[in-house]
Amino acid sequence: MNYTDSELIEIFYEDGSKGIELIFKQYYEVMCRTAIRITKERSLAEDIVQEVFFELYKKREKLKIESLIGYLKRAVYNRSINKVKGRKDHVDADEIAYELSDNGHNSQDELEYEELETFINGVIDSLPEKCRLVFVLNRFEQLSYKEVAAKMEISVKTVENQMSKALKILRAEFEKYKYLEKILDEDRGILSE
Amino acid sequence: MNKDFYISLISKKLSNELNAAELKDLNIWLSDVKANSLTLNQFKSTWDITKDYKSDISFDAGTAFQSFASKYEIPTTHTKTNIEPKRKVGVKKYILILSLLMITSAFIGALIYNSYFNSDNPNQVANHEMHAQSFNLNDAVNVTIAPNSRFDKGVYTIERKDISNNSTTNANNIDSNSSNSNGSNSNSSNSNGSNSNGSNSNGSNSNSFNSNSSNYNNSNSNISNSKRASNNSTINSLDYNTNDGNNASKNSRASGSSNNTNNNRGLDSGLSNNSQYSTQSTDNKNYAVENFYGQGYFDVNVKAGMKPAVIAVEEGNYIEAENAIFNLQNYEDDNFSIIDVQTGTVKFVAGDNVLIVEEGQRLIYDETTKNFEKVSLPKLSPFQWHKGILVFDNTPLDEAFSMIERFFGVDIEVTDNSDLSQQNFTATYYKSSTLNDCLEILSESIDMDIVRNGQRNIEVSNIK
Repeated sequence: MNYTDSELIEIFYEDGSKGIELIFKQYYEVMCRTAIRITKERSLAEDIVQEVFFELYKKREKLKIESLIGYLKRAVYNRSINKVKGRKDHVDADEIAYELSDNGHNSQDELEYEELETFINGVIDSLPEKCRLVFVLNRFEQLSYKEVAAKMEISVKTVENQMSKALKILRAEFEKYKYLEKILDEDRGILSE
Repeated sequence: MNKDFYISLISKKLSNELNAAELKDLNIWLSDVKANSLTLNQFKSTWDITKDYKSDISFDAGTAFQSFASKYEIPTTHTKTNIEPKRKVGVKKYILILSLLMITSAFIGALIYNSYFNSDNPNQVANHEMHAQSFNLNDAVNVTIAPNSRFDKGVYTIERKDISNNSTTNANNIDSNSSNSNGSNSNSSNSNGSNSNGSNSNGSNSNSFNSNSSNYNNSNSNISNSKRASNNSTINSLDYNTNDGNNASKNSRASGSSNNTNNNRGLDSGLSNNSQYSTQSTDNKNYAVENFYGQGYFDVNVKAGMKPAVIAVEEGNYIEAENAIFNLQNYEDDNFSIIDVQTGTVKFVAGDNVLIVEEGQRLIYDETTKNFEKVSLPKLSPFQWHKGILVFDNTPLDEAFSMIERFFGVDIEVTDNSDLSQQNFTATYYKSSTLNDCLEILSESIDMDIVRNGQRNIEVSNIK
C-alpha cells in the first residue's frame, strides 16, 4: 500500500528501521529513475539513491524533515549532479562543438535494429553534458528554467540557450532518423517486389 | 529577429516558460509564413517523443532494499509486519496546535514590538528575526536587511540639489575614479566661491560634493576626530537639524545590542520632533540610514534633481547614491565593508577616499588599513539572499557556517578539529525551505552530525 508523506514521516520517527523500509520501497524506483536520467548509469544511480536513503536513516534523530519527497528529490539531484560534475570524463558542453554526424546514430545498420525510443534515449544520452543535464532537469524533472539555473549554478540565459541547443540537436537527429527509416522502408519494398 | 531567437521561444513554449510578450512575438512569427508553423510542429513532435526517456528501465525495490539493509546494517527483523499508519488525529491535538500557534504569534508580536517601538533608540531598526526584512524608508530608499542587522533612520529630506553649494574650503580634490587608498593633501580648490562663514561652529571639517563635477572636495583636517565631520559651510537650502557631536566609533558598537546610544548626530527622540524641512544641516548630506551594521540590500531611486541619498556606515564612512541597487555588508565582527553594485553607480566615501563603484563591481574596503580593492562581482549572485536564497558555490565550510549564522541568526558550534576551510560544497538553498532544509543540504554534501539545540544553537561534530 502507498502511504502519504506525513504517515511515512510519522512511522519513520517512531521506528527508524520500519520507516526506512517503507520509504525505501515507496520511493526507490522513482528516485532511481531521476538519478539515472542525470547520471545515465544504472549502477551509479542505484548507489546514489541508496546513499541518500542511508543518510536519511542515519540522521533521523537529528533533523526534522518537513517534506519527504522534497528532501529525497533534492538529495538525489545534488548527489547526482555532483557525481556527473566530478566524473573524469565530464567535459563542459561549451568546450566542445557537438558534431551531429559524429554521434553514432547515423548508421543504417544500427537504425535497422533500434526502436525509436531507444534511438531517442541514445541521442539524449549523447547530448553535451551541460546541455543534457539542463534538458533532463527541465523536461523530466519539471524544474523551471530558474530552478534549473539555481540547481546547476548557471544563469537563466544559459538554461535558455542550452534548451534551444538540445532541441535543435534532437530535432535534427529525429528528422535524420525519419529520413533513414523512409529509405529503409523503400529498400525493403524494392527487395520484396 | 533570427531563427535562433524563435527556436528559443519554441523551447520556452514547450517548457511553459513563455511570458505574454514572448507569446505574442511567437504568434506573430507563426502567422507570418506556413513554414514557421511546420517548424513548431517538428519541435513539438521531437519534444513529445522524448517523454519516455529511461522510463523503460525497471527497478526492484524489494530486492534492492534487502541489499541496502545488508550493506548498511539496517535491522529488518520486523519488516514483515503490516504497518498501519495512524490516521486519526483527535480534536485535542488541533486545540493544542492552535494554542501553540497563538502563543507563538504573541511571542513574535512582542519581539517585533520590542524591536521597533520599544527600544531605547526609537529611530533604530533592527532585524532579530530569522529571515530578511524589507523596509520602505522613504520615497527614495527601500532596504532589505539580513538578520542580526540594524541601523538608525536618518533624517531624509526631499531636497533639490543645491548646485550653488556655498562653501569655501581648503579641500583635497580627489579623483573619484582613483584607486588611491589614502587621499593626498594637495590641490586645494575653492569649490564654488562663496564663503563658509556664519554658521561654522567647528570651522574646518568640510565635506561637500560638487554636483556638477565628478570630483569630490574634501577637506583634510580633523577627519580622524570626526567620522562624519561636521560640515558647517553655509548652506542655503532646506536642510535638517542635526546637533552634531558625531563621535560614533567602531569601539562603541555594542555587539547585538539594540540599545544603540551613538545616535551621534543629535537625532533626538523621534522623527516627529525634527522638522525635516526647516532647519539647517551640519554636513549637507541627506541621510537615509545611519550606523548601518550587518547586511543590507538597498534600492535607491532619487527623483531627478533631488539630492542623493546617503547611507552612513561608521567612522564617517558613507555611501551616496541616486539611482542604484546595491548590497552592503558591514558586519561588526568583520574589519571590512563590502559593496556590490547590481545596477547604477554608487559613491563610497571613507575619510579622504572617494571611490566610485559601478554596476557589476565589488568594492572591498579594509577599515583597519584603509586600503581597498575593486573587483568584478562574484560568479554567483551576492544579491540572492534578499530573496531568501542562500547560494553556496564550493564554499569552504567555515564560510558556509558563517553565512548560515548570519542569515538565520543562529550560533553554530563546531566540536571538531577538522580544518573547515578545506571542506567545500556546492548547493543552493531555496526560499521555500527552512533552516532545517539548509542543514540537510549541508549534511548531504559533507558527512557530519548536526544537532539543533533550541531555536538558535546548532552543534556540529564528526566532520569527515
